Amino acid sequence: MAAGSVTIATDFALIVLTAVALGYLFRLSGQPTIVAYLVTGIVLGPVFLDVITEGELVELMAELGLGFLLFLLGLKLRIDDIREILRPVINIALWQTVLQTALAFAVAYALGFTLVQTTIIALATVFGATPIIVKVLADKDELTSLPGKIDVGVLILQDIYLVVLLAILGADSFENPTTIAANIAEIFVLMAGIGVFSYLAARHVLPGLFRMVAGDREAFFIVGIAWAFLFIYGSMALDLSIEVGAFLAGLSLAQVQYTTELTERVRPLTDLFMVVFFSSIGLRIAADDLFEFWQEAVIASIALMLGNFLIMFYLINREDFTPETSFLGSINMVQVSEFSLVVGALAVQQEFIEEPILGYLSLMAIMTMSASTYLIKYNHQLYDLTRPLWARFESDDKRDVELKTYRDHAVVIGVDDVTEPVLPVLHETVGDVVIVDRNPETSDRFDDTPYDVIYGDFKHGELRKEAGLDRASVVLSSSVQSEINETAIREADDDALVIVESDGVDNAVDLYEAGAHYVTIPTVLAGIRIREYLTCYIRDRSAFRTLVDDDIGWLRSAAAGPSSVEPGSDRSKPGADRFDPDADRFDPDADRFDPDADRFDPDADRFDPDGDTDV
Amino acid sequence: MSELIEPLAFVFIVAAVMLLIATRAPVPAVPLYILAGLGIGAGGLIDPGTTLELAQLGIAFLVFAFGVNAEPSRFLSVARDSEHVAAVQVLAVGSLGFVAGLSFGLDPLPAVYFAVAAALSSSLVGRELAEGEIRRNLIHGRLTESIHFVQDLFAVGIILVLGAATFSLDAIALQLGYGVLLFVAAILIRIYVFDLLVRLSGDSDELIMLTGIGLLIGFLAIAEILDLSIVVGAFAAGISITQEFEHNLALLSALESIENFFTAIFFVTLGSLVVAPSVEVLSMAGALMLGIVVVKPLVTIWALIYQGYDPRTAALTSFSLDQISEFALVLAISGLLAGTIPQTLFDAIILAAAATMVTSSITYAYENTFYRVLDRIGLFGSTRQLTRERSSLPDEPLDNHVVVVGYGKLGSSVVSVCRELGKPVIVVENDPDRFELAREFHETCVFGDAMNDDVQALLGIDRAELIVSTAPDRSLSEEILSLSTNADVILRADDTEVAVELVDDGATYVNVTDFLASEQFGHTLSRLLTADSSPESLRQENYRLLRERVSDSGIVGQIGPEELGPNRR
Repeated sequence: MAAGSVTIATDFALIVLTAVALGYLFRLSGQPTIVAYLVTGIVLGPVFLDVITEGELVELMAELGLGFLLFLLGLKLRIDDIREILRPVINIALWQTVLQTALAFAVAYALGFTLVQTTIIALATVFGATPIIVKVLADKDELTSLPGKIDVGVLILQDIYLVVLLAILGADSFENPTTIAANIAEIFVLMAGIGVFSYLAARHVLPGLFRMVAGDREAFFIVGIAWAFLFIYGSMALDLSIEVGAFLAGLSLAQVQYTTELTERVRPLTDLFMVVFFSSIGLRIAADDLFEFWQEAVIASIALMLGNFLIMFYLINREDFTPETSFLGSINMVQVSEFSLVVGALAVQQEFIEEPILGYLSLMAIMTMSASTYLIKYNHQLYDLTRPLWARFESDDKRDVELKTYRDHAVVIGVDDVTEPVLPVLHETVGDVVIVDRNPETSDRFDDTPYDVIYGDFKHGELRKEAGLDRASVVLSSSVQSEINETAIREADDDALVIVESDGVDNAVDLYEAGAHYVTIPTVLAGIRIREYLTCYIRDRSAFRTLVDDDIGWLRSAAAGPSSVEPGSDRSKPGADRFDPDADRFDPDADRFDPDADRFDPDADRFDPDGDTDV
Repeated sequence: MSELIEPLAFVFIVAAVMLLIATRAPVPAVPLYILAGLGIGAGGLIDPGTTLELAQLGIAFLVFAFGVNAEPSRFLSVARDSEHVAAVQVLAVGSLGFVAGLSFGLDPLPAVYFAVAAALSSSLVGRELAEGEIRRNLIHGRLTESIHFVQDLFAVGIILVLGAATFSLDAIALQLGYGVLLFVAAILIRIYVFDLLVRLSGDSDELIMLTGIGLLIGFLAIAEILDLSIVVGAFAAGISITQEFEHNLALLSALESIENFFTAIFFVTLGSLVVAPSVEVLSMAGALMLGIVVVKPLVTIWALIYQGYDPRTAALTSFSLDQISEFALVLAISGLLAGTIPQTLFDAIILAAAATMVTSSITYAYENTFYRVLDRIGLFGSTRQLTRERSSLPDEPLDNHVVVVGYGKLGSSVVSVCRELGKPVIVVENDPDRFELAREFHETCVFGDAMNDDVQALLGIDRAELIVSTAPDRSLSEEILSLSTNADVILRADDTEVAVELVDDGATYVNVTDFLASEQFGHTLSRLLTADSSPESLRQENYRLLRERVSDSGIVGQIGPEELGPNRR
């Protein structure tokens, strides 16, 4: 073939195909996909098949995988999310880092590693595996529970520590204490520089920048990626690791309101690169290296899992949370993170440790991650089983913080001229109203209203989770896309009232079949009105004028938008008055607004579809 | 540290700067990427070819995405005449292009590449521009979309044939044979395997995304082993994925991100491969542009009018087709890498592509002006007679009558009200199918576009009492308001802002569907929220109401269920 002179790299193809196959295998046994990717590398690498030589493409993707992983991490770092429990979380995270490092150090030293090796191992094994914890908890919908929030908070602080650690480990020379100190000082200065830059950007540049492109999906995404690359390139130029740059790029973006959508757009790309990244870690390990310290790895895994659990339990318990919260919060955090491999790989590159230590770390990561998946999955059952053990920690002083989560609220998918006027009614009857809308102007427009707006595409699963779709008592969609409406119907709670929009009767029938409780067809509703107006025009011209003048008045106030009225007041929504139950136009007794759905009456003359064709 | 990170950083940063600069102007992304590439290449920021391997993935994802979106239902819904129009246009412009290519001293094979560049249009650009029309289901939007779709299918076929390593008939036959085998395999996977994979993935977004990528890579590998173009492999992979499963949203949005990433690299790389243009390159690019901006629209207009569309529809459709296809770019880079076409031709195609994609957004923005110019120079003179012949007019000129623009659901509804109340009414419609319907049920109707002077004369606009327009088309609305008549005017608009402006400009009333519907909807909602019955019984009650209405009307089966919305045009 003509284009045959450039081919899809064999190594890349092998990695992806093997990863897919193993991904299914691990998925079926309930294992996290990360373990499957690591095993992919081990299977294809020197340990088993030895069929891969890493090409340019794989090398790039592996590097981008790490960069984008940290970019994504930064993107998700919203201090707001854990503000309510910030103080206890900081206490827990600080002490946890100290105590777990000490424990890991003691275990590794006892197992006979050298001082340098022990130090790297101790530094590397402190972290909890963010992707696994977040993923499994999200699947169980416990991410916003109190133990979930504590864990996420601790993980966020760990991530910051990790970035500093990576920057230090990545430094050029470690010849003597003075150069080390100078290096570390330099790194901190540079990082502070980038940090200040990103802070200023987040305050003054990014909101405007993203508002410019938020209406254009492709441009929005490319500008987000370019922002990451700008920082990656900048930190490369400053001789810092690209991870630091990527993380700070994400962090600065996280403070801009359009982040959720960007996170969801970047995630698939990151997932793809991560496959290559984790595989490449597996690829680097030789058979001897992987199993050289297997006994030590088994012992250390067990010791660390137990130790980490006890440390976390002690720390959370110390903050006066209930034993159940302490238990759940700790059992989630017992594994060795994939970051231990990141730190390990960097340490190998810097020649602090040899490959076998990386093999040891990999083995520990694989074992603890696999085990902890099950521990998190069955955390409540485990607690019930072991409850008597924790009874002695019960006390009346201990109580959990009340967290604000959406429950029995209304989720509104997209705001348009049909749904916007009904928001006040929803708010009054249901309570919290969460709007998911992909129009960037919506979040600006509803800034000062009681409604929460999530900017982004309803297509993203994480976004639906954030809106608490499955806990809502009313779901209202103004989209006419069947996929969106069907997803809303499927994922909503069985007892929730699901109201969707359709652009035709045919589609409406399908939506009722799928389980919608009411399907509105604006074109039909509007068509009925136009027929009325026209009839009036022909029969009684002056009545028509009054009717139309009245309507145009409402049109004007709707078009003027919220800016025409005081923000925050009840009238801040255009057309709000149209639905004021006390308003004349809404008087159920008024002829024009017969509430008994007569206007929908199939037998009514006004809607005689035959009229369309029998003329 | 990978050597590719730095070039990649340049690619995205420059591309983003271009996109940001162009946010105010409605220019599509593709030409901006190419321009970014030209800048990067000229500035020597990256060595030519460093990002080629990634660009290759861009091609694969571009074609893959097209394959994934080419659902069978779309093959069926392609408007009846599009394939003829597309074929006529591709053949006519292609032949002209081939002759022009030869006259530039190209060998026959490169001349074919030249011809393909001239003939095929970019669906990425065309559909991005005409997005509003497609969404509102206006007739030229629909035509644009389906002609692009047919052309893209042509493109994949042409790439399959041109991809044959040698040009003996045997080689082409072998290639076609392998190609067919690959598609059969894809269809088998689509029917028997994909569903199973989706079920096994246990709704893990990550795994479904990876399955899609895995299928793509797998097909690419097979294509490579069979010595087929990766384009064929990517298209087959796209075919093997059906959208008919519950979690398709996750897959589609994931693929969109990855596609956006790699196609950006592809288009920027294309631009960066252009060397400083010579006179020869510029003259070839100029000829291509002339063919695409002038000849192609004329051919399209002629073909559409010949098929029975009115001049305005034909003109507006053709203004969405006047650019070079992204598939021609894929072909060009393949030809360049394989040494089949000279660097000069490659440069000419890339430059002409960037230029025509920009001019296309200009012709689109001023489509109505261009249409009027064409009309004024008498291009459509011969169609006047045709309009009169096809229309059915009353013996006596109408007076104090109602003019209804558009015979969609709302239009037909309006007509029936007038007739019930004994008001004389005349319909104007520019969609041939709907016009037939109008003529069948209603004796007085005019075929053509309401913006045309002759049509307006036939409608007796100056003596009308009321004009009701059922199309949410701003330019049409403004034209109607500018007519010299005392008639009242009821228009239609998509949103309240436009509606208010139209009222200020003199409209008697403006129908905004969502606005009119919202009142009733708010009412129903309050009733639902405060109802004592369970959601399920509400569902059954509402469903019953709807079904009764549908069965009472007996409408299903008469004009097709999709027509049931009252005012779709």
